[in-house]
Amino acid sequence: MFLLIFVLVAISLIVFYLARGVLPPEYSLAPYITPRMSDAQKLQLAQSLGVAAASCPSYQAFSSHDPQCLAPLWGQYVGWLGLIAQGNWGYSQLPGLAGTAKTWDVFSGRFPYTAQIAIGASIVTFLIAFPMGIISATRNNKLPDHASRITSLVGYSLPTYWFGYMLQILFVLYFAIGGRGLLQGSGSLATQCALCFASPGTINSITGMPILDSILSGNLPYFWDSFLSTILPILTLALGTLSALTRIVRSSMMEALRQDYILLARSKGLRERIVVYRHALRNAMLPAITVSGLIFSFLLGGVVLVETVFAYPGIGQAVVSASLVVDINFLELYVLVTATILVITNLCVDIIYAVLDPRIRY
Amino acid sequence: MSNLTETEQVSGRALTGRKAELRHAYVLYKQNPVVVAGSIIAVGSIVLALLSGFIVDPNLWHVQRLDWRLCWNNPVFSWPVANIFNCSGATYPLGTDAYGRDLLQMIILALPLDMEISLTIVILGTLIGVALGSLAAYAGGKIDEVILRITDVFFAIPGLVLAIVLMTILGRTIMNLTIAVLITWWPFYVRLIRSQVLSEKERPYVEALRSTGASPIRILFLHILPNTIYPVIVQMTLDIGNVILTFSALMFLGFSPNPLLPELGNLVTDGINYVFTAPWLIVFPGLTIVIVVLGFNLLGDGIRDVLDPRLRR
Amino acid sequence: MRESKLLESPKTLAGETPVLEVRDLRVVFHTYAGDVKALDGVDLTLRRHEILGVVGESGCGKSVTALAIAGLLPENTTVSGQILLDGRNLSELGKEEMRQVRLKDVAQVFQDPMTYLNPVLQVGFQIIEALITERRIYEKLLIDQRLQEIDQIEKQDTNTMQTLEKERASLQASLQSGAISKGQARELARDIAIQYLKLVRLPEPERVFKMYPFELSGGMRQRAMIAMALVKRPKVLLADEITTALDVTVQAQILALLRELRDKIDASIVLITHDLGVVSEVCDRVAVMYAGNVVEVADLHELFKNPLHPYTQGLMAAVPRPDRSTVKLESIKGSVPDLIYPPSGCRFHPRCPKAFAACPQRKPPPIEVSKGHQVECLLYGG
Repeated sequence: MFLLIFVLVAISLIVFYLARGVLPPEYSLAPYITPRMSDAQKLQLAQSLGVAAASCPSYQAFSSHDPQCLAPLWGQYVGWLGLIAQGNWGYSQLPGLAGTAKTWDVFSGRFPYTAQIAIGASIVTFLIAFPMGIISATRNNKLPDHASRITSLVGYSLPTYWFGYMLQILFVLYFAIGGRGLLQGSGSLATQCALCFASPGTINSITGMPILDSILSGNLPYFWDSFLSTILPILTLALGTLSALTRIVRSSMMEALRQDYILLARSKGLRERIVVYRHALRNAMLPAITVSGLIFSFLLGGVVLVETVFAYPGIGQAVVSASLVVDINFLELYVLVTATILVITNLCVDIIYAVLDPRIRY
Repeated sequence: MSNLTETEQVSGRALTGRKAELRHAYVLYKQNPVVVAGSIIAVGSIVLALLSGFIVDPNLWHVQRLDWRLCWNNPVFSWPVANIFNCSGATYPLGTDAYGRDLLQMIILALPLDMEISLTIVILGTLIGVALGSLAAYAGGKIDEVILRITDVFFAIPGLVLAIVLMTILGRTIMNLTIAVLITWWPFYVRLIRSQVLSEKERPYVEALRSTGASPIRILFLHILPNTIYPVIVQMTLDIGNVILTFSALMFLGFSPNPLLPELGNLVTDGINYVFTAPWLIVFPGLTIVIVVLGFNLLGDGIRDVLDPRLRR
Repeated sequence: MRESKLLESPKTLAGETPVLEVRDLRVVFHTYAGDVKALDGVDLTLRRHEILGVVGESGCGKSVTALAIAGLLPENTTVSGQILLDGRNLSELGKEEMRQVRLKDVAQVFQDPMTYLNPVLQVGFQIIEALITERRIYEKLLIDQRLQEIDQIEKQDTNTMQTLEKERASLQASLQSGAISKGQARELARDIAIQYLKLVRLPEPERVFKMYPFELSGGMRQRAMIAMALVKRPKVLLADEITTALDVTVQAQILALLRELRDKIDASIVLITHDLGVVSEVCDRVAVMYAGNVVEVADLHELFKNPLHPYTQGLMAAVPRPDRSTVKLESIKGSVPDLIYPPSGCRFHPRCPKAFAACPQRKPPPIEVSKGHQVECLLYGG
């Protein structure tokens, strides 16, 4: 708990000071300006936010960085904290949206899409890495082991974005039926591929995640089209983490199988399956679980690349645009949310670890 | 009283010592085809990077020839794309890019830049990691706490995201890119070295050294660090590849200083607009990254395999 | 009163078939460094209810012998020879059949209870897990124990008697149908485990049952391991260096426990150790091993009184004796041979003070010098 608050405060401070300290103050003001404000109103706003000093004579002086107008950063920070405590993140600066949509709305609208592929990729990672790692370890140095080692090594070495494009090229260009690609490869609703439904209808937006909402609304074609559009992004995202986790599961299983208690378990006459799963895996899972925190971190980073490649409307895609136009509030919001997710995830990982390893509890 | 001679009494024992260890390591190395392949690729790419200035004119990347853009005429392999411009018969083994430059030459030019950035980051990151990590582990107490908390903060943000934010703020230059990735990378080294030094610190020989009055710095640098060096070397080798993946991803996202810059990720960026019309723009630079990173990963893995069983004995 | 079955033990009869007989056991490990000829024709006999000590230096093959008997050698080995358990040749059995043997007849206790117990599972669970998982095999064992207990309970009031009768009926039904439920097995196994924990003199056995290995001391863990081995009523107990990792006082306690147990349990014990002192405390007979051979076998007192093989003599001489003032400690010259390229003929000859010309040429066959006293040394024939 403590850690969460500390980390968030530290991050917010770092990002804030870094961003607003280095960038000119217009950027701090931009999210709160509506298109129809007059210069006087803008100046007033700047001063009330703590962005411009009270002694600043005019908006022109402010924009030309007149030293009279410079305000101390900590004042801005306090002001900013006050605003976000009310949930006010200003207006998004993203291209095409300047001044019309609220940052928070843009973010929260896109977030469920990212959550879809991030959760999907996590599931795929764990579902495949554990069996593959276990098989690799128990059939050490035989064909399944070599195959899995080579594939995970290669998978680990591929650039995420490149792999994404490779999949796109494969499934949209090469694997085509009647001139249409097998899958769509862009967007969150696949309507123009050979396997999709062309007009899937509409759904009610309940959770914001199309896959869940389409089930809840009973619209199966929509579900199918949404699902198809997530396959390639999820595979691309999961490849790196899957490969890394497989290697870790493999090596920790091999380590566990070397231990003395495995010999004792066998000497009791237990079936090999019980020895592997009850004795070895229980112990091997511990290092694999500790790595999970890093895996989520990687996933959240990879989302940026994957959404860009597949034009998927999540927050990852938005971050790239946000950085191009320097939408400070969006970036800060993004960083804080990501950090919160990661810290909570790490907390859960620690709890799971304590459940599995009685030595930690005492 | 024995009736046998001295030599007959001693049964044949293998020689021990450093020489034998190294020789044994070399034997293990040769037996492992994976490591050999990896080291060939890794060394090959470094050599190619060093020589690239001689193979290809380093100023070539400034030159745009727009009437030659996006062509492909490699007889061995073709793409299922309609209307490919066939370069009017000139030889471009990998086609040309969006600016009319020979893709193969661009890739060769890109290698030294990628290797240089990667090595800078890895070496600097290790140095910082060694400095802070060993300080944290050896000093312990409050200093350790503080350093750990700082790394915690960095671990709470995904590396790519942090790098994006830094690049946004600092602006797009190669130097800033290097700094940004370095800032996301150093916490790993700090943690790694800290845990290595921590476990080494408990060994009996350290206590013995302390009791003879050796100063902590001397113990740290002359004794502890050399013994913890192997996992660090393995990590560094692996990271040369991983760092390339990270900053080429940044370049791909658009953070490069110059769209013409010959860097592998940057070359892929140009290809985004031509995914289905000129796929080679994406395929080949990416493939190069795959090969180089794979080479270093194989090498790193191999070093670990070769050194590890020795350490166990 | 409750420990009825555990207390009975018939005396060993001379002339009875030995419970375990090892004949000419050879084991070769195929490693990347070469072929390690670990066992070079080992012969051992374990009689019913006796404690046989197997002594030797590290690397002489004692543990390998135990693993070979239990069928737990790793994949890269070649095994030949015979291992007869109650007349049944184990070396002919496949992996699954050997597993059955390990379930019922052969139990092993190992050296370091810290590493041999799974750190994330409760001690009690580890003791009974085989009983539960393979409950079909242990059915009789589990149920008979409880039935016996019920028989022995003194007359109580009618209510309790009725419940007990119902329990007895249901248990016998399970016995007939051969289908015992997991929950039932767990209950019964737990009771048995607690009894054995008491038997090995662990205080508060119900509490210990729920503990994790790191919560117990070294001696307690070793007792728990012994209980784990005995719970399945094995015919043979292989105790591999069970006191080596313990300090001397605890070692003495465990040995005292073994002496106590030998009259109470039905098993025959092979006690493997490098410590002659341990052997002298509990064993009936002793086998001395060197470099993959059994060089001498004799009754305990006979061996100490009259060691025949030069190696045994060397071992005896090496033990410092407080009642004799010695200026120098005697030791055996040289060191343990490399088993990839072992010495020719008698493997001890390079270190033997009494070696002569024939020793490197012929491997000495086992010679019975007096009743029950066997040696493999050319000094005595061959």
